[in-house]
Amino acid sequence: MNSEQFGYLSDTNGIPLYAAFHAPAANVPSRAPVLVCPPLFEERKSAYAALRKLTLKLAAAGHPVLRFDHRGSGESGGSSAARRWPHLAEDAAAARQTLARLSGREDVVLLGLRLGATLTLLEAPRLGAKAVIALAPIVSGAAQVRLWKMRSKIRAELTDGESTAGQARSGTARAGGDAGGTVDFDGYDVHPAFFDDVAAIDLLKPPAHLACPALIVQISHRTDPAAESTQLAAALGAQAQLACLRLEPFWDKLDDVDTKPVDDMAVNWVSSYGVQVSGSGERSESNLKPAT
Amino acid sequence: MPNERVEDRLKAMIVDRLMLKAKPDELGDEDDLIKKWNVESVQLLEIVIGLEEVFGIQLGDDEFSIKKFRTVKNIAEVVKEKKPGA
Repeated sequence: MNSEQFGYLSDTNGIPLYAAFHAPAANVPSRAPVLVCPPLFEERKSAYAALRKLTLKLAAAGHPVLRFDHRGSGESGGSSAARRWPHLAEDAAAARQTLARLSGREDVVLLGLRLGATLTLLEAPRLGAKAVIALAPIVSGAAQVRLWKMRSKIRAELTDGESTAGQARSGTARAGGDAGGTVDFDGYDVHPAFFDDVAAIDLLKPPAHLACPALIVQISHRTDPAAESTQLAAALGAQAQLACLRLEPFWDKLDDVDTKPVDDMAVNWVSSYGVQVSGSGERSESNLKPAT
Repeated sequence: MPNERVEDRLKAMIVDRLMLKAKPDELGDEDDLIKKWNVESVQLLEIVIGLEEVFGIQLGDDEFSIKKFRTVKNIAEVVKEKKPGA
């Protein structure tokens, strides 16, 4: 039976970041702590259940795990309208620090999905990651921003009806910003420069090389690696492994998708790839700040 | 297959990319993909990406409309317009 503790992270410049700490199962060997970095926007909502399920499986396998919401997202405080890319990195750093404190271990593994996976790959050196699991990372920020815009337009057309499509909400999700100073992206207020931040990301460009082991999981209709995945694995260096899962993109689906293959792959890899360290350090007795 | 109809190549691409539980020839040229096959908005994006990868066609941000992607026949018209020899 795993214990789950909810609350808020400290050291986040006054912004309450919501987190859930899952203590490892007591009847299995202690394994490396895992920080789960979520995606944003609708993808966060759609992937919530799947990531929580994966978290429970990691905890059952002996990993202390911390899930958290970025500022301006989920149960966390702060405004998405003020959020820029560096804030996501700050949030992850605060979460990593808390996980190390709660688990008493510094050998933290980062696990991210979509934009969260991109963040883990970019921030792994600064966060001192022991290893990284990147699930369906966004490799080209510019391509993703283009898809976001297009998706926003599709949604607007479906919502507004085809007769007014492309007129009433044609400004939706423009990276340049709206008159009000924020951009409405699928109902989320977004800082106009946030899309520029994301568009500037290119994981294939230096310094892509990772000093720690990484598992890149391509999740798509394909069983063979796409060119972009192969290029990413090559750019990350010899310690990067690429795996391909033919699975519906569960972060885009409202319906329940069976993500067991993802769970199994992540749990097996993280427990067998040299990140299992016996013994433990000083665990902090202090908890997350209580949720009110 | 050079002589294969654009519509049939599209059906194969759509069934594969969207992981539909159907065979390509079960899709009718004029089936409403959203209503009959429960294609969601993000899956329409998958089709857009598929056009890029399979047909080498890139749509501009303003070139997309639901009307152009409602049926296989509609999408085929986009393909034929953007790439006449396809």
